[in-house]
Amino acid sequence: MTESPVIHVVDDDAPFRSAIGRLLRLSGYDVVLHDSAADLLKTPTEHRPNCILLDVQMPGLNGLEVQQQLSISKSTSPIIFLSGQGDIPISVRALKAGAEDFLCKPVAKKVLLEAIERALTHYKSSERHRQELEAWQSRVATLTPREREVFDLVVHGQLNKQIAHQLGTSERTIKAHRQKVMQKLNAGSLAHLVSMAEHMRALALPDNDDA
Amino acid sequence: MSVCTRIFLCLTMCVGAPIATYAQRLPGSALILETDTVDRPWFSALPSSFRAVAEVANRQIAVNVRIPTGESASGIPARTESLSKPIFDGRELQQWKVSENRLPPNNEVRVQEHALWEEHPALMITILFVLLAQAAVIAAFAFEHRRRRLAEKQAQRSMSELANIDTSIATNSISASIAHELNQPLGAILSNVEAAEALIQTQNPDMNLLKEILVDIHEADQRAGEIIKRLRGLLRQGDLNATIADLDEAIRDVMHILEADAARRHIVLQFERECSKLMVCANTVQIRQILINLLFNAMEAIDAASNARASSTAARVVGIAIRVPSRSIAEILVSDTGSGIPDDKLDVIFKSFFTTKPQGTGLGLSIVRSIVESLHGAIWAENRTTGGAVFHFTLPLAQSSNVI
Repeated sequence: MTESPVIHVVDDDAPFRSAIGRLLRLSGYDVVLHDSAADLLKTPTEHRPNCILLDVQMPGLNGLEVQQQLSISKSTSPIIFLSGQGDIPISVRALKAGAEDFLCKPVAKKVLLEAIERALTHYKSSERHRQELEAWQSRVATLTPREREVFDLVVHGQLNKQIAHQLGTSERTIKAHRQKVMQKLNAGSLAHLVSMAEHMRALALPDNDDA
Repeated sequence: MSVCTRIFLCLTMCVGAPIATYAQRLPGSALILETDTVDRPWFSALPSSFRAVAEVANRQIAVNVRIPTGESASGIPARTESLSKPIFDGRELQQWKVSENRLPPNNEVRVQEHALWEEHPALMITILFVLLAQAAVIAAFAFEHRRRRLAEKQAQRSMSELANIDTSIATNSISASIAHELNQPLGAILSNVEAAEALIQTQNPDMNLLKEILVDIHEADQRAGEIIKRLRGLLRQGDLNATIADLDEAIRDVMHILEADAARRHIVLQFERECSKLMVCANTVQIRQILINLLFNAMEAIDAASNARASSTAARVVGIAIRVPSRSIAEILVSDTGSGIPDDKLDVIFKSFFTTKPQGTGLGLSIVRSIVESLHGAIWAENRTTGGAVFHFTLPLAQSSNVI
């Protein structure tokens, strides 16, 4: 990801929005200004590093509701909240719901830029994970159903002859399947295979439980 | 009786007693004497000493009369009254201001006009004591009564003072508003300043951009000043002496005061009215006081209800409506979408110190009721069929002819 990052600034207060926009541009970021949450949600997601600066108190959809919407639509953009009221309950809720940070207005440049950098770093690393996961999942998809069964049982620590017994074939067949699996999944050893499987499961779980 | 006899009697009286005594010792001798001398009118003209002697002689003579009639002399008790006993008239003593202890011993003072209190000292003292006790009790009651009246007046004054200065809800709400609203222009100013700092460090700073930044800073500053002015205006007590106020304006003021609080709680404040200007017989400050309390309670009720319920999709609306049920009364309704009030508590919520909140003072609704009643209005609460409670209060309209 060598594209330059873009910051989405969402705030219904025009002077504040334009001031932040100026500051961020002069600090080297690309900025897109939105006057409401609806406007943000209309924007298509890009694949460049980005983060969202979100005002908590806006007419219509407020910041927390936007956060909910974004997570429903599986957005990966980290969210930094900006609030005129340093309300503890709201900030806790926002952070629990996965916000990157919760800042109070007026916000100093140093604080803002540090938060943005952290958000972008998180974005990059989670993008990396996501891409690995995708690659892995696409490779797993190339396994035949039989190979898939073998794979599942192998990563669970079953011996070849146990697998053979369970699936009702000979050990030799199992060995052949296993070979194929290792090849297709590009795994160097059983340990590698297992760790990748674990990784995939760990990464896959949040997706499954997302609501 | 002849004059001679009289003279003789007088002389006899002067030396009567010794003679009488002497006569007593001479049994058989008879002395016929008058015994009713004391009753004669000329008797009281005699000086008292003579009178005393006459009395003694009289008694002696009376005794001696009995002897010849047959009584034995020894059977008759002898009264030895010495004539040498000095006898005085009390009135003379008083007139000449001679005190009794200057009199010779063994004296007798007759016709002493004693003062009542001298004669019955114990009784007099008791009566005096009783009167004093009565006076003390009456004084105590009067004092007690006065103190009670003063205390009642003081309590009434305190209540109305409390109603006037109990602006804590408004103040808190306005403080939150000020904080929130001011942070916007302050944030804009800070970010603009930092942007300008970054700008002038570049090679060829864009002067137009710099000018824009400065203009924006200026505007933000002015906005901040206006926010403070507007919100302080809401906090000001206003003219406490005015007796007529615009109900519509008062309601909108209160909604403004509470709007930041409502926004924070995600509660919508809805105001419906039939006409735009309605003058009532009340002071703006009083109407605001009533409404702030009722609206704040409504918002708290909604929050409490949604904390109890799990779902967050229920409506969170506080409604304010004005009705004009008759030509002389305006009725204001404040409704909420909370969980309502238990039917048996619809009355008791207005009592002092009744509260369901752990931190509540319980004074809000009782203050509101005392304000409403002092304005000759009425206040009551009921539950809505659609859920939640609604508080009604009435105020007299200013154009009505029956101003109480």
